[in-house]
Amino acid sequence: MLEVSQLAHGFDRQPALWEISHLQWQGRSLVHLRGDNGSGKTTLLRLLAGLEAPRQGSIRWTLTGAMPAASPPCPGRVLYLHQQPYLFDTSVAGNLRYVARWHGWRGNMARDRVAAMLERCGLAAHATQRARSLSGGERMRLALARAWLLSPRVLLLDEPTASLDRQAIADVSTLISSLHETGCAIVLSAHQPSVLTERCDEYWCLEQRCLKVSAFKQAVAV
Amino acid sequence: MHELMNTSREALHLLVSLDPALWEIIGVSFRVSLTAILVALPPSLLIALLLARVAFPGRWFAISLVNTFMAVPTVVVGLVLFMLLSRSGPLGELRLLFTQRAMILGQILLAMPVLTAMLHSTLQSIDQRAWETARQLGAGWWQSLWVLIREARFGVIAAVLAAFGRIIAEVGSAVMIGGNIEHFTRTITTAIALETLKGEFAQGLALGLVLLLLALVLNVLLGVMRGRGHQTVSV
Amino acid sequence: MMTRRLSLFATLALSLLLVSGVQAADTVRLATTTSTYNSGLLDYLLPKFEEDHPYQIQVIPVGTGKALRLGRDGDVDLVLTHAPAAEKAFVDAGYGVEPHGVMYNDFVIVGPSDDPAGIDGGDDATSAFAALAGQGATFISRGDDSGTDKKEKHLWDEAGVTPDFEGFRAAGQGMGEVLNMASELQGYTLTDRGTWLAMKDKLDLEIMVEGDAALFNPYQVILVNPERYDGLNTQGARALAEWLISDEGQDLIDAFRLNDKVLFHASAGENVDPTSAVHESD
Repeated sequence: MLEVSQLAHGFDRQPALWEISHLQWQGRSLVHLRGDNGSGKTTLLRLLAGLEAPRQGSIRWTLTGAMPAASPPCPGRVLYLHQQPYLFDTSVAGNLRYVARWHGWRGNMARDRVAAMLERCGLAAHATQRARSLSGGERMRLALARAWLLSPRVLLLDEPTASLDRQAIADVSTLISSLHETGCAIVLSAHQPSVLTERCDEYWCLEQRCLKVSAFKQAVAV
Repeated sequence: MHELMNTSREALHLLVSLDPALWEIIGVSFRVSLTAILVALPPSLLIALLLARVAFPGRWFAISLVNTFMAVPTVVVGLVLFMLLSRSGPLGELRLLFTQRAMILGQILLAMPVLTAMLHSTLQSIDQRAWETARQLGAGWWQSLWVLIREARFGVIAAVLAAFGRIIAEVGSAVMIGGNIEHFTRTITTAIALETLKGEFAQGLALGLVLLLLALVLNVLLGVMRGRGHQTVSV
Repeated sequence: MMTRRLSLFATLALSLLLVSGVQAADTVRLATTTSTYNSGLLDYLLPKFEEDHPYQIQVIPVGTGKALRLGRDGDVDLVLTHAPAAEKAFVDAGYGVEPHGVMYNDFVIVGPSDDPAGIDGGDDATSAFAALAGQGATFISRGDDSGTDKKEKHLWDEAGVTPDFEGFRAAGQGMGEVLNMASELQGYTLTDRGTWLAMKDKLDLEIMVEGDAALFNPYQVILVNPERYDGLNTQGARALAEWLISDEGQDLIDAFRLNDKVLFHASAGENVDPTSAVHESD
């Protein structure tokens, strides 16, 4: 569960981007974070991931369930993906092997897990290709695969489909859906609706420097 | 012209006949310069990382300082080290003057500003997201540092090659603190500079060819590195 | 106003041009050893020559080997060196003409005051060298093929040792640098007296051996053979050589003092047989 109270943040001495007096989230659903450009979506995601310290207020994660509980900043449990994911300058498989090594997986175990993940994300054919030569959709899928390898509890995705073409959006959306089905809660920001946002269970909307939360279907009804 | 041809022929002969005196000098040069680079690299990397990644007060001043040191003439480094290591100097007790260790020390001082400045700019050009991504994906502090260096590997190699090229080709401090002693501290450059005083140009020319060849190899290597940076790798 | 300034510039430029033109024609290039140059002898002699003669002397101070090489290549007009055997070969090969003995000075063996090899106070250079080699003492050799270096090699020969003992260091540098190294490393070396006198205040060394006839050091002036190259200033070179061995030049050499010490002894016309003073093996 995520509990946020009296949270505010902004840049340098400028007034706060937004203030969130209270937010409670069970950490199960697929959330669409909406808001105009410059409304502070990225900042909120980075704060939730523990990549930045808030100017005021508190963020508290209590994660239970299939995966062991931990509190943020918590590598591997609550994961933030950049809008343009950073891929390490090596092969596609090499990117996954980095993660395997950092988690102490060795030999066959590491090899099998990496191979299985490549297969699952449709990247097996690209295994030895240089990661940076991938197309936009493939890059996002590799970033998701790399994250998935860690079995994260929560994924925070910053505009995962913003610069992709139609087919790539469909592929990435399918992947995100299956990730969600494995028990990983997801918050994704997007300023435009797409096939992906349509699958979301609820939405958080940043407008007039406040966060409004509602179930997605209701919002459509309104 | 005739003279020049003769000298060149003699120089080539010295090279291909593996003249022991010639190769001893080349050996000393490489031993000293390679040691200096190996010793200078880790501290330079740390300083460069500090300058590139950590915001601390006076950082811009530290960066200008590094760039200034890069412009210090080698003879000035030689002079300062000479005064420090001289019998009458504060470090005279170490008895380092006119030894290979003293030359290595001098070359470390010459290599570090070049290494640090080049590593700083190459590490600075590495995306901030690299560090965040590694940390997010569960890499420890040192593992993330290693990733940064690996991401910057072509720049690191370029820095090492450039610094190596500078110190193996420098003569000012090598003469002053090495002393050009035969079998001990006579390097390619000090031999070239001082063999001509004997009117013996062939050995100087042969050693000059070695330096030229070295420069070529270093640059080809750099080119290959950059080329690899743009192709598919299967690691 | 403007015109006057312009004409001033023009006059200045023209006169400079003329002067430099005269200089180019009447410049004499002299290659000589660092010992004559560093001691200040040439700075003392040459202005006096230039006062009375329409020549300007450009001095190129190098080792004897390089000096003779410059002469052989026609890069200078005359040489003033101190390596009799090499000079003889230089003349015999037709590279140089009109050799004249000008003066001599002497070498001394210097070393650290605690004298670990125990050669202090001797007057036999050969046995001192043998003792240095026998004990593997630190010895800094010029190793640069200079006149001093040739003298040193000759002395090792005379002493019957190959200079590859424990403490032997060949520096391949000038006398000043080698004296500094000897001082820093507290070793021995062979030096000409001129450089020694000029530098001894800054050195932590003492004279060990002096006065041996084997340490005698004659200087010759030799013109570069004008038949080998066009454009040599042989006339100027001859004027300088003749002035050096004239009574005026010789008196000035004898009157030269460094730190109140006599450095060079004029010896023109004494017809010193170089082989009686230095036996060199080439």
